[in-house]
Amino acid sequence: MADTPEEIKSHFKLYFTIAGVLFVGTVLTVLVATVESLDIGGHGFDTYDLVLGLAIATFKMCCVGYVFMHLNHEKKAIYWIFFGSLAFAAILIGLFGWAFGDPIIFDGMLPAKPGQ
Amino acid sequence: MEIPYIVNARKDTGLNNSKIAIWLFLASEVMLFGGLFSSYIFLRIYADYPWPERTLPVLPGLINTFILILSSVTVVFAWAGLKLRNWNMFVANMAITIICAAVFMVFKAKEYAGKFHHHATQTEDYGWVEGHLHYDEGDSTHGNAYVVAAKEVNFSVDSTTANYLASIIAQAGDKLSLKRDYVIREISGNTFNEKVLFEAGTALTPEVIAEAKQHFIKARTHNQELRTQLLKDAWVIARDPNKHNELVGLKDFDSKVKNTVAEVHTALVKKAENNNEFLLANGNMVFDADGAELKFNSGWGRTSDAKEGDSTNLSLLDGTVVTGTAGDSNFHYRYVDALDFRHLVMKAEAKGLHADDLIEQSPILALEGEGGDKIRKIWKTHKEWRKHLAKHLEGRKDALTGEGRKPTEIDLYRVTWHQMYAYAQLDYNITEENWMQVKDDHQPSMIYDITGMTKEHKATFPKEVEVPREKVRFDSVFSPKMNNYYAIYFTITGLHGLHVIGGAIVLGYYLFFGRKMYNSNPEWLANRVEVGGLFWHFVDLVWILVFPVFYLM
Repeated sequence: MADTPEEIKSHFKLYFTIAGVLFVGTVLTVLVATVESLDIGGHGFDTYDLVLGLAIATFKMCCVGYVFMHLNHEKKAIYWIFFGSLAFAAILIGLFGWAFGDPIIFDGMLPAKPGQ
Repeated sequence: MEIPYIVNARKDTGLNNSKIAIWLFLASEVMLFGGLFSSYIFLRIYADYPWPERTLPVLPGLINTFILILSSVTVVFAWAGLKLRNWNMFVANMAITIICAAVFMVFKAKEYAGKFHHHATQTEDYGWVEGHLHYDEGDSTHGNAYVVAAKEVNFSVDSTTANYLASIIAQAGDKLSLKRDYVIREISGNTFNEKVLFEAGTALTPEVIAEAKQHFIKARTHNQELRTQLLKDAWVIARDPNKHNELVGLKDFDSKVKNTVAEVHTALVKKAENNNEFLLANGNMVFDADGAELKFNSGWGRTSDAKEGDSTNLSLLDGTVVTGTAGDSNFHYRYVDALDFRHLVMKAEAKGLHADDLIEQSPILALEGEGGDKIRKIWKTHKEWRKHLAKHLEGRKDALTGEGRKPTEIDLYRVTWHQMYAYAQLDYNITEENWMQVKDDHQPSMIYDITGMTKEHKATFPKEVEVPREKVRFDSVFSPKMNNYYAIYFTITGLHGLHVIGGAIVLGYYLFFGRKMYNSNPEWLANRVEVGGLFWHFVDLVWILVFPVFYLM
């Protein structure tokens, strides 16, 4: 954590740089989605747009967390709390995915096979 | 009482308690939004209807993203101002942050308002018409009404609501008269007298219903109390060994007694009925309506049959039932601004049917009047346009697969208002030379986000379109009722909006009431602003994900 006035002032440039990166990242995401000549993959929205859009968004989120939320120089306890919750959220989504893919649930909706 | 470790760090964690607390809170927020985004993912993957991708106006979303990024920067500088003991720097940056929050919410409110005023109707074949319903001044039904030539109206006196009753009286109060005498029974000492409270032919007024309600509730209460008393009497009689000695000493005493009590109670009730001890609890008042035309907002109830000329029962939500003949209950669109056959195509393909043939038979392309003619003309033009688009895309290879590109379902089966306008500009004549002047609507619109619909645009839309209600499968404004997409959209963006408001209130408190604390303990205020700022950054973080997911995908 920057605490002395000199340390705090030395970060000003970084804050502006990150703001610039966020603006550029946002514009890039919109251009890829709205300008056909920049559209990668097939015509319209597809998996490539999805991956690119989410990749840029994730990068932007990392910038905000790393610099603006000071995760670049935090104490261990904060990392455990925040990244622990992220991991739990990922597990939650994974469990949902697992449950949706569970063949027992969906096979049960199919007609019974002859002889059963 | 002094709260420990709000400025100085604890030795064990190296952090002050406020910071630990906000990060624990943010961890719970991660789980909350993680859960909501996982809902979004699975709703989208398993949607059994065409997902409305790239349907939100991009420019307001983009501006809101810029606003939140800017506010994230200013909130950091507000904190830095306090650390540098520069009050003016704090005030200026925090004020900008609050203004950003306000502007963000204005854009959001405008976006929501647009959704709640835009209507869509799904026909029985899963085709969609979108637009704005007719609005006659003073007509609250907005072109979406149940109309009944009423024979009679049956009120449930205890649940009739004032606004429904007022509407019926305003529309046909002079024609409504009580069908038969409304009789009550009164208690006078130990005698019960019947009398006619309202004679047949009495005109409908709120007072009539109110007085009948009063008597009905009184009678119902009396009857319930009498039944309870008779039940108590039945228990006393049933337990009397002199009268029911067969029950004494039995192992299954309870069940035997219950049966006996029920029999005794029935006998006592019958006796009380014969003695006219029960009051008349008539909860319904039926009024002759003499064919009066009654019109109701369709949200007020449900009708058994809305086809014009058919007999129908219209049940209002307060229990009032209007019986009669269905009138013109069609959906009256002031103008139609989009056609969408994607859901129809999805259903047709699932059954192995030829989608284009089914579209040609759709009730949407068989609508009557000038509006219907224009819809057919637009669809015909659109089919011509999409041929050119397909040919054009075939020549544009996909850089990753090397194959020719193909039109999307949106290109093929959805006609937007941008296209309707463009088709009109080309006089519904699409050629090899001019087809590219029509906006390819697979991409989100940017220009029209600024200009919006103008009178010039609206002049080209199909107007006064009437969709027969019997052909309608579903209709709604673009609210959470519409489908899961709008449900999750309003949930996530609404919750995010509440976070913006909450964060702005907290940061505003520091701005307007922080001076005293700054004078006494500036480091404490700096810690508070840092904690509030962390929350604000999290709000920005969520929006960074919301924007591409909802506006661009």
